[in-house]
Amino acid sequence: MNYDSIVIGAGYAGLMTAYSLMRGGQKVLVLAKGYGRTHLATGMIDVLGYVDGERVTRPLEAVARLRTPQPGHPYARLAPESLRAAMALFLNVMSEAGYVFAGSIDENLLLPTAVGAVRPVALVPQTMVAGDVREKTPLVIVGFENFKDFYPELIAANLARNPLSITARAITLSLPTLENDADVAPMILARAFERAEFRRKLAAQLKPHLKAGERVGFPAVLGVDKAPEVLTDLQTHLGARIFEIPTLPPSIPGLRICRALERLLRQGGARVQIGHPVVEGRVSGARVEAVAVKSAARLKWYAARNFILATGGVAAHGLEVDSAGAVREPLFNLPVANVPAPSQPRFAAAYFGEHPLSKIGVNTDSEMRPLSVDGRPVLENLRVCGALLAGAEPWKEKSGEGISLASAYQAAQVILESRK
Amino acid sequence: MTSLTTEILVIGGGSTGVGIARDAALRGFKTILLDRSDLATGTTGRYHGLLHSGGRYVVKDPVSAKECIEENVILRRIAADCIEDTGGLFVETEHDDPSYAAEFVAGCKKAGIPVEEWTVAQTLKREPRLNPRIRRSFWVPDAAIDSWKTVWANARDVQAHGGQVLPYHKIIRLIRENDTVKGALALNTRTGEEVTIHADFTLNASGAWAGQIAEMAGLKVTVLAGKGIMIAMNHRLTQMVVNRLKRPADGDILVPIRTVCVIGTTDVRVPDPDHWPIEAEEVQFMLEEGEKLVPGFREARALRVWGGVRPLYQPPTLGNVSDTRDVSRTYTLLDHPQTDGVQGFLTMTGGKFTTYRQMAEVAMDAACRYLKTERPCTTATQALPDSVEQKFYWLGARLAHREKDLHGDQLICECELITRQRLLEAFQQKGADLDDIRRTVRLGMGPCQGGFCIYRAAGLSHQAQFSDSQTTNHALLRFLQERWKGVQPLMWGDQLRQARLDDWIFQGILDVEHLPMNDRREATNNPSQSSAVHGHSS
Repeated sequence: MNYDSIVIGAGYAGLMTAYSLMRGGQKVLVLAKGYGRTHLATGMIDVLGYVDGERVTRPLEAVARLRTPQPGHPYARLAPESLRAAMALFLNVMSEAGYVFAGSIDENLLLPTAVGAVRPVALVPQTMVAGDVREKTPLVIVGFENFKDFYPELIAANLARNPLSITARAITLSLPTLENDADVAPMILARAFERAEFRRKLAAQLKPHLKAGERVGFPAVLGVDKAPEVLTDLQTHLGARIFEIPTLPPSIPGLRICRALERLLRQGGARVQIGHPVVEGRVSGARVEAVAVKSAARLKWYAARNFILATGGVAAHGLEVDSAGAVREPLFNLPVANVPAPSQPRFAAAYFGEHPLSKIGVNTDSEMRPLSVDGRPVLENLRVCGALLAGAEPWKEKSGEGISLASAYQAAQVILESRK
Repeated sequence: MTSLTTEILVIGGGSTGVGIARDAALRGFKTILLDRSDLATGTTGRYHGLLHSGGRYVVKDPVSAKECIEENVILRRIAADCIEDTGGLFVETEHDDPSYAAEFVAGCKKAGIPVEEWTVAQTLKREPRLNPRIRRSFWVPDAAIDSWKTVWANARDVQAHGGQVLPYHKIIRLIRENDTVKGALALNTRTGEEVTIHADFTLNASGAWAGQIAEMAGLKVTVLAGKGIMIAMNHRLTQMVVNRLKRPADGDILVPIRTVCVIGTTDVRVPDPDHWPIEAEEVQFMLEEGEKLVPGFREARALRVWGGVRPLYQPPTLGNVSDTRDVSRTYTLLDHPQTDGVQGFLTMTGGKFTTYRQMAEVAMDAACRYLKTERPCTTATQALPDSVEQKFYWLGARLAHREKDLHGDQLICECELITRQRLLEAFQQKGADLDDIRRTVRLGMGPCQGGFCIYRAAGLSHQAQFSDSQTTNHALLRFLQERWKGVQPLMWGDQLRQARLDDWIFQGILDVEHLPMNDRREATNNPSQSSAVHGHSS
């Protein structure tokens, strides 16, 4: 069976490229060794949160300004309309999936984190939007004794000390309805929230402690597939606006996005195969002909006209660094940019310092094709997107999803246009 | 200003200091121990965790070898809970001189160290990851010992016998009246309060820092600092201690301790025991030497690198020392009343963790002579708390303990199996400094390097009101910076992947870089001047 496009990787970049190509009429196969960064991240859509340590208020404008000081940044190589269109598409797709997002790329929201820092972000699910601290109504943060990944007292205390003068307090509840378990995993808790009886009991326990006009923040575990319903129902019971705060992995909000995209892809006729790694590529001349998946101790080859490499950065094995400091892209041995010379330091002494190795990755042209060191495309029908791209520190900049979605969008457009 | 009075004052909270304090307390002396920092933060907490059989020194340093085997036998009796009886091997690789074996065996016999030759086949059956090209192999009673646990146990026993243990008390000066040292003036670095301690007798057990303390009494003592670096690997590549069968050198020993194994060490003389770097070349050298013992070593995940400084006493007669490997590993008691005419003051330095108890006995015997009292030492027979049953620690101990009560408590640190209850107890004992907590319960020392548990511990410390939010934020950021020092030289392969995941958690999700701090500079940019890595990842 021949595919129009094979996407390698099932993070934000991979799934959204696959979605665009599928909607463009292509026969698409997604191959991934496992789930992507959705499960490890916030489940929010960052575009750009910090530049040189300064908080970004207007992300789209800041992205446009990034071109001059940081010509090597992925955003500098992506068309400005790709970012805007990619975000519009993502909002539509999530609405279609019934998991509605809010926010815009023109102005960042400011949301509390699970330590009580205030973090800029562009798009967030409806379940989080009421946490925006630009609004001045008081917050009450609610945690559970049985759940170890969320500490409302610390969040509230840090929020209260924030220069933005936020009013916040904390409540810790016990969840006696969960059977005899002192150590509740996030997924168990999320499933519990999907039960009406659990919500009713919880609301009854919590409501007497709430004051009029308070917004109520919970750890981001308010249901898996039924999160919007859980939110509405809890708000009704409590008579207050509620919101989720993302915490340690596994990310329930990220899981919702991944499941929604996977479902839409399958419904739309794409094939999604997660759990076996792509281990080899067959290249002829300047074209990728096929890739091999390792399953059941043998190689299975898949051919296609187009390939999209969205295998992620260092954390996801998209890039590998060995003990001598050599960096490689393991699948196609693509040229890797921004690698410090062997004589140069790879890291700074300060944890929050500038680490030379942080911006390694693959450089591409505007068609998202990987480039050699002298700037020529090395493979004609391979597009690179997501965290594998050189030039960004997304965990620091708060730019990960924006880069992934914009590069995914641009890669898909190039492929779809080239067919016309 | 607080004023305390004691019979015995011990300066230094490493193994020697707590050993002396326990020895004194068990002899019935009123005892106070001070350390400028937390206990076991100098050399003691920064070594690989080998309980020497003495085998390493039989040829080069037979005096030290004999001390080691004597104490090896005693510690197995009194500190069993701190020891894993791994056994040790000396293996001859193709890189080692074959003539050394005969010298080694003769040396073991002379020092009284049990030794037994194993066939290569027998050795490889026990340790299948070892280089199959080894030529000979000898078993000796090496073992692994948890230096932190040993120090805590000694300190607790001091307290149980009425003594006082005062960490974070920095000596400002010694009180010297004419020719007699009569105690010390110290600064409580946690409260800023000055404390005067009047003592009948003062013992300087500050190891590599002994020269600095002796100078406060107007005495010149030269202690060289021999830096050694160690790397903890993420797995126990061997289950027994493995030494190269040759004269002690760099990177020639692998010590399995708890869930990791540690390769050590280098030996480089450094001018200042507090400030020295870990060089990239040293790390690469360790990996190359590891490869000779265990092929594929380089591909295994390196978890943490740290260094410590050995206190090496240089007698005035020895002249200038160029290679610190050549300085004896034996200990030295400096009898200041006799040699310098300064009364009430002794310095015990040099030596090894393995011989800490004997050093304490020798020091207190001398102190008793000057105090003109006869009180016998009992530390060779009186077991430490938790070791009374004389049962050795074993690798599954924490899990077995946890399984008794699987659903009763939260697991805050999955890697090291630390429960919420245990952590709260540690906060109660030690306060909210996460780095102190790390050393006490091994928080954040497993494969995830604190990625999950440090957030939880910070939140819990604040929730249980051991720290306010400001202190909690500082503790969290300090932990991240300290951890970075220990992992930064090892950033490749899976260790780098782990670090990146932790970056995503702490920066991407939590945005700790933008916590509200009173002092922003401290929050975001705090590279300590010292590269002395807070280590002991074992």
